[in-house]
Amino acid sequence: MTQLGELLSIQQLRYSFGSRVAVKDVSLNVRQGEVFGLLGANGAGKTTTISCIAGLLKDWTGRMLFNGQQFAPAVHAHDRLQLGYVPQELAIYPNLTAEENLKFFAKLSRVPSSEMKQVVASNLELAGLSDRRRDLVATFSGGMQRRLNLACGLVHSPALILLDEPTVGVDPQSRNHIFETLMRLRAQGHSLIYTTHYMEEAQRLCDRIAIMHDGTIVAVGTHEELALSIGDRQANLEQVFLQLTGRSLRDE
Amino acid sequence: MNTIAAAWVLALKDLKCFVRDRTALMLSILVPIALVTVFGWIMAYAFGGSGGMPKVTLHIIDEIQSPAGEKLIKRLEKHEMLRVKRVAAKDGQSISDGSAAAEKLVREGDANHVLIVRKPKPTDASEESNVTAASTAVGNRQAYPEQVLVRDPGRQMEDRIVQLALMQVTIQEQGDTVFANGVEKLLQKEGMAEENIKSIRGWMTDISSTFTEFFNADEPTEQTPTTVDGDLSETPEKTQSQSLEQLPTEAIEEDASGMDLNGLFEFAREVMPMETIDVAPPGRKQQVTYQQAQSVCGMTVMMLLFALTNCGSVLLSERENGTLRRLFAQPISRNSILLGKFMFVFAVGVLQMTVLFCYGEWMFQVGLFRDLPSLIVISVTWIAAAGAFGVFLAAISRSARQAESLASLLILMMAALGGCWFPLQMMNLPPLLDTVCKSTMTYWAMTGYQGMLWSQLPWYSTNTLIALGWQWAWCFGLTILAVFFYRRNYCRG
Repeated sequence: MTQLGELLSIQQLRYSFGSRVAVKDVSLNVRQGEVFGLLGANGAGKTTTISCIAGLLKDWTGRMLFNGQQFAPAVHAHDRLQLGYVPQELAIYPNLTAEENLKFFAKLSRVPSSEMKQVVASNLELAGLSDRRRDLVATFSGGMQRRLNLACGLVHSPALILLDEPTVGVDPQSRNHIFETLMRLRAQGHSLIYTTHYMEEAQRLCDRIAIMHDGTIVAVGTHEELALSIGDRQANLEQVFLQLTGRSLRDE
Repeated sequence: MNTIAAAWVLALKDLKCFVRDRTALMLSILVPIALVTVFGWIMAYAFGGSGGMPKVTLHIIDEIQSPAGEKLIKRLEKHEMLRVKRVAAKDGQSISDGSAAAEKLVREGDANHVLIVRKPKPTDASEESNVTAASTAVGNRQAYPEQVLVRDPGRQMEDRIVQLALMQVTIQEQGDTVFANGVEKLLQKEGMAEENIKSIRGWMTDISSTFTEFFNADEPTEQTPTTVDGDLSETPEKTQSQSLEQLPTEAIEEDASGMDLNGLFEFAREVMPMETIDVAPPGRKQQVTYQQAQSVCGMTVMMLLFALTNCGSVLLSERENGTLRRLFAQPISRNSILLGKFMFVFAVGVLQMTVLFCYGEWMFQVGLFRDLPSLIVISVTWIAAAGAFGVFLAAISRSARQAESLASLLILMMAALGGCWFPLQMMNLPPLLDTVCKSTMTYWAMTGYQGMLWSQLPWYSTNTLIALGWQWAWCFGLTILAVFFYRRNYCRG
């Protein structure tokens, strides 16, 4: 793979919920045009890490650089403009149509009104919802809502897209559609941070993967590099993951 | 597992969840307790507590400050249906032009009934022959002070009570005159010749004396004809009071007994030795009753609170649906999200007010749009205050369910205490409860609307400005608290 320039660099990121440290000195680099996977069990710190990057949490310590510049998305709105956030929940409005939802988020993301029509149309196309553009979201299937949820995070064509488990509860067709969309975005030069605990998804989509365990990154690299790190070149991602994080149950 | 067993397991699970949600549990119990307490409390005072009937405020201007006038006022003060307030000039002296002062009080909504006690008019020659016969029968009755009742004609319910009380006291004092006047009026209505009426009036002297003695039979100190300088010592009037006390309850239930009570009141008013002046603000439509204005204002004020509290809870819905996290990730400030909610509730408030007022005007013709600038200023103020309350509730609540419970509790309490359901003027509130009522924002909203609708006060009148000031104070206070709790409960981290 061609070595690409760094888009986001995180150093020693630390975040606590009261006395409980959720993210412990996490450092990672996301390159331009790559899909970077954050893989971990429930409570490993994936969502907290992505929330810090998205500007949802502000009291973190450490350092973030975006294109080599200081990056404080919780403080500066223009830093958040570089990001597209697709939350785990279906964060769309069921009483609006697909078109109205896209228009709403496009307006918040400062898409010029002259480009609005074209932006909305292209994102409806991306979500495969052009023929349902004027239908209320409440009438959509779960998969359609997931696709719209993704499209709402892309309306302003951000440089870095944060995807927090975007395929939870999605049927195979919609999941495949989402994967194809993400591949297309990567091909267009967007960078993606993708959190999941589905091994096969991470293996299929991600150029590099960071395995998180108990708030720390225990390993980072391509699938091959991770397999090598446990001394088994043939190991699949699940075997690597279990080897690195242990087999005990995660209840956090 | 069969259906009943499965339902039982589900019910137990729900019960456990309910018991473990301590806030919801507390509110579920506290809401009904608080409502029962507030309504029980306020209703007790609404109907006069253990006294049976509510007390109505009667302002009195004593122009002459004579012993006879003082005696009349003392009697009125002792009356169980009246709360007498004496009106004096700022220097404590008597008011020389009672009519002007009384009319000002009623016109500006500071009083509904003002009784002027003034020097009796000198009788002209034509009247003398009629009046003297009756008057001489009871000694110095010609020196009995003249009474002028200046009243707000739309306050029908209070008016009945005041009229009854005044009738009772006047009959006790001047039963002979009332009786003679009554018979004379009746005979005139029946078409009897004027000379015959004059003869009968003469015969009535003896009957009048008997009549007076009958009404004063339970008052030994009052039985003998008194002089104007008579003893003012307190006299028991229980027997008489008790017999008349029964009357108002039946009387205010119009037509309950099939009687034409309006006609009875009109007749009684004619024969009473008292002049009545109706004072209504010039813009008020005559068919409007105080109850209608009260209902329109009260329901509008209360329903707006409910509506805007519901709208405010959109903030909670955003959080619960996850859209708030997404909004926080947008390139907008977090304060703009809260401001957006304020704007949303304000817009809904304007819409609801417009619809309610148009409906109220169409339904009751209460003259809402007579003074449009005042209506706008007063409404904008109340929408702002109620909107701030709605957003504040959303900001302090942890869930939509908690907000709903809290909203029901607070709004119903404020509506009752602020006079949205019952006119507070009809209540005999103790000072503590009166202060509690005045500390609610609904009280000031009602004051503003009633001032505009009933007393036709413009928005820049002193009373209305005070009401507006209190509402804006509530609005700013609640907004500051809403911002504080929003930052603490929604934006922390």
